[in-house]
Order: sequence, then structure tokens, then C-alpha cells
Amino acid sequence: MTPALELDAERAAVRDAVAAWCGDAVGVAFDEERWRELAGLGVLLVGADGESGACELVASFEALGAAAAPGPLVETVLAVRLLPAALRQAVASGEVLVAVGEPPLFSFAPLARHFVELSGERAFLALPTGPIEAVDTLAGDPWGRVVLRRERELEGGASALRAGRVAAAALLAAGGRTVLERAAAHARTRKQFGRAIGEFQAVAHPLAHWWIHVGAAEMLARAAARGLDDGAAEAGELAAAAWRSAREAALGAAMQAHQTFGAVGITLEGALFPLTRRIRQWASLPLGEAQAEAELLAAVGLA
Amino acid sequence: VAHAAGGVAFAASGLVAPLVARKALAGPVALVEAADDGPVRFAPAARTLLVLDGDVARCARLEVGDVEPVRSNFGYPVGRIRPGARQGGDSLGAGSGPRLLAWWRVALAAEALGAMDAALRFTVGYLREREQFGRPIGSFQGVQHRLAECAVAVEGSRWLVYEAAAHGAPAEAAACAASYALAAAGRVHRETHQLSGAIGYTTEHDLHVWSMRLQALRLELGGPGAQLRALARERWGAPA
Repeated sequence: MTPALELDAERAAVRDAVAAWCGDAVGVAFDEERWRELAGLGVLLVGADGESGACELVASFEALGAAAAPGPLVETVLAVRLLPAALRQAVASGEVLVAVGEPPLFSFAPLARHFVELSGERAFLALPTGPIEAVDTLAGDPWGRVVLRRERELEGGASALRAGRVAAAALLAAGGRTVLERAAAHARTRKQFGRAIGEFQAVAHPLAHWWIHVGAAEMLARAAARGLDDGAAEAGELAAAAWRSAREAALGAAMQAHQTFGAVGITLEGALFPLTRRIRQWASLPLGEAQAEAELLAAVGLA
Repeated sequence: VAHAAGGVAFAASGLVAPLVARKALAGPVALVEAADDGPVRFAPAARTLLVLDGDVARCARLEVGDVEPVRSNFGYPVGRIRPGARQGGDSLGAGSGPRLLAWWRVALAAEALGAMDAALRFTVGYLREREQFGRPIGSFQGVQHRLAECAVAVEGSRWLVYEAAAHGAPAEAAACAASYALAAAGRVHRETHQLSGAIGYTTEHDLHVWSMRLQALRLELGGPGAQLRALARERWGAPA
């Protein structure tokens, strides 16, 4: 039985609504007011109550990924599933930020009210034991180095990570698709050696190669979301597979897009770098690498 | 050596053993990690085993019955070594383990290098001859550039192997050579087959001679991932 891998009308509407909000948000720095606006669309809370919602999550994260939207997107998906109920609402409304990851380096640490430390598939509510050292990143988001003390373990780590992996996969696949579209557009117009550079096989073929991979990752993310919503037994494997696939596809697409653009692609004001550096950041999220791999190996009987 | 693809346990016997053991060992020599109960390259043909056991390397004579041959398509004789045979043997002294591991990595990278180089040359030769779409398929830019990328990967592997060997296999350089060469091996394996098309799958066409061996090499010592982690540890002291 093949799950429908197109977004149905309802989910497409979700994606379009988020895309409209994103507008031309590529490369824009994180802004707390815009973050609250995004939260107001209900994007951060969808699916968090354990009911279905993974398909909506993927639909909105595809739009966010295509626009390279700033903010602790996947981190918040995890946070609303892990944090105690009392803390959840303020996070979901965008009032409060949560830093989620593996110490010592956390995204949005300087702005975070709460900290969640991930260790494999386990999660812990944690508190800083000292000052947060601000760290500059290529994507321009506020990161920080911090020493944490674990306060208590949070339940539901494995299932939160499944949702997080699917969300990250949607972001990455959509980001990968956007960079390839931009690279192809550039290749169609940029002339060198007497012709549009896209006419050279060595330029066109690699873009086609990564287009296929990005497309496959996108479908895998949607299939995983469908699996999560249906409570399918293989949902966990699909989520792990989607995450790995999308990471590889997006990074490959980013690399190839840079090859296509040449020098102009690495300028801060160019059309490409704001997106690829965000892809790089999304691809570094620590979502339980070893556990995801073990789950995939077990699925094919190689555990 | 791996060009010839016929050397029996050459890397272990010819490169690793003389540099790790102070005395001559009765060859062929097979290399194994102490806790590895999986199939081991050259075990059925080996007379001596070099066992990597943490800080210590041990050398053990293999007797009849110690090795159970395993059928494989890898192009090397492989066999399972019984636990008793892996546990025994004479210690080569404290610190001999890391030395064995480093040279094993260099040897593995060198074998992969030879096989990649040969596979690539063979494929280039084929693509010059094979015609489709009205011309030799090697004349298409899409093909040429992929081959060029492979050539860069092979050359990079070559010089990392030479550097590691020339410096006496320091841990970081050895891990670097192994991680780069094994990653390159995967790429060259895929690309040579992709570009050779259907004939590349047949045994009549020689590509399998190297590609099956490249697959085997990529399974040894924990594979490319393990070499990368070792490199990170050696370079930055990062946790495994």
C-alpha cells in the first residue's frame, strides 16, 4: 500500500499559508516579533498533543524550509513535546524560546528561557550553571556555549525525536529544493564560454542528480509523516530514514548549487549563501544519530 | 599490488608484519581484531595471525581447524577464526597494538588505492571504446567530469597514503589516509559501475575484479565511518 505522497488540499493550504507568511524571508535575521507571528499561525504546536498532525507539521516545515526561515524551528517541535505542560504554552505561543541540543553549543542559548539537554534519545530539563558565552555563527543566529546541570529527565524522548526528525527532514528537503531551483535559474541565464552555463552537461547533470535525491527525501518525509499520523509500525524507521536522506540530499544540493554559482554564491548578499548556511545548521541538529542508525539497521535485519 | 589483484595477503605479510613484528613471521599473515568474530580476509590461507587487542598486538600460529572458510563474492579468501585462536599468541609488547592499527590502516588505504586506480584506468579505457549516441561515451562532458572527480579522489588517496607511510604511520595520518581512501573507494566503485552500464555487472567484463575487492576493503576495521571517528579523536581528542 503506497501512501499518497502529494499534499492533500488541506495540507497544501497549510503550506501555502505559511509560505505566504514567510514571504521573501530568506536570509532575514531572527526576529522575536516575527517568531510570535509564526507561532500565531499555530505552526509550533501542531501535532504536539500526541494526536495526528505530523502531515500538517511537514506541510508547514516545507514552506519554512523553502524560505530558510530563521528560528529554533525543530528545537521548538521537540520542546513542546518534551516540556512539562505548565511550560508548554508560553513556548508554543512564541513568547519564550527553548534551547535544545547537546552541550556545550546550543542554538538560541542567549535568548532561551529553558534548556533541554539531549543525550541520544533521552532528554533532560537542564539549567545553566554559569553565564552563557555568545557565539557567532555563519547563519547569523544567536548561538551560545553553556554548561548545564540536569534537573530531571523528561519523558517521551524517542517519540519527540521522531517528530523532530520528520520536521528536520521537511525543512532540509525543501531547502535543498530551493537551492537547486536557484542554481538552475542561474545556470539558465549566466553565460560563460559563449553559452548559458546550464548547457554544459557537467553543470546540468549534477543538478539533476541532486534534484532526484531531494525529491526522494521530500517524499520520504511525507511518507514518514503519514506513518506517524496513522500510528504505523514502521513510522519510526521512516522518520529516521527521512532525516538521514534529507540531510544528505540537502547538503549535496547545497554543495552543487555553490559549484554552479561560483564566486557570487559565497557572498553574504547573494541569493544562495543565506539558504545554504541555514541548511548546514539544520543538518547539524543532534537528533540521536546512533539511535536512528540502529533503528534503520534493525529494520533491515542487520541489528 | 592491488593492481594485480592477486597478491595473497600481501599487505598484511609485506607491509604490516615486518613493521610491527620484530621477527620474521611465517606468512601469509592475516590481520584480525581480537573481538571480531566475523569473516576475516585471508584467514583460510594464513599461517600466522596478527591480533589487535587494545594496547597489545599478538602473533599466533594458525593450526589446521582454526579457520572455517566462508564462501563469499569478495574476491579474497575469507574465513571465521575460532575464538581460541584469536585469544592466544605471543604479545609483541606494550604499545604494539596502536602500531599495528596504524600500519593496518595505511595498508588498507594502499590496497584500496591500487584497486581504485586500476578500476578507474580500466573504465576510462572502456569508455574510450564504447560508442553510444553516435560517439564514444567518454566524449560526453557529463561522463568526463565524473571521471575527473574520481581521479582527484584517487590522487588525494595516493598522496595521503604516501605521506602516512613516509612518516612511519603516525596515528592521525594513518587514520586520515584510511578515511579518505575508503570514502574515495566507495565513490570510485559506484561511479565506475554507473558509467560502465550493464556490461559492468558481468564477469566477462573485468571491472568486478576490483569492485568486489573494494567492497571488502570498505568493510574492514569498522569501515569508513570508524576511520573518520578515529581521525577526529587523533586530531581533536574528540569522544568516539
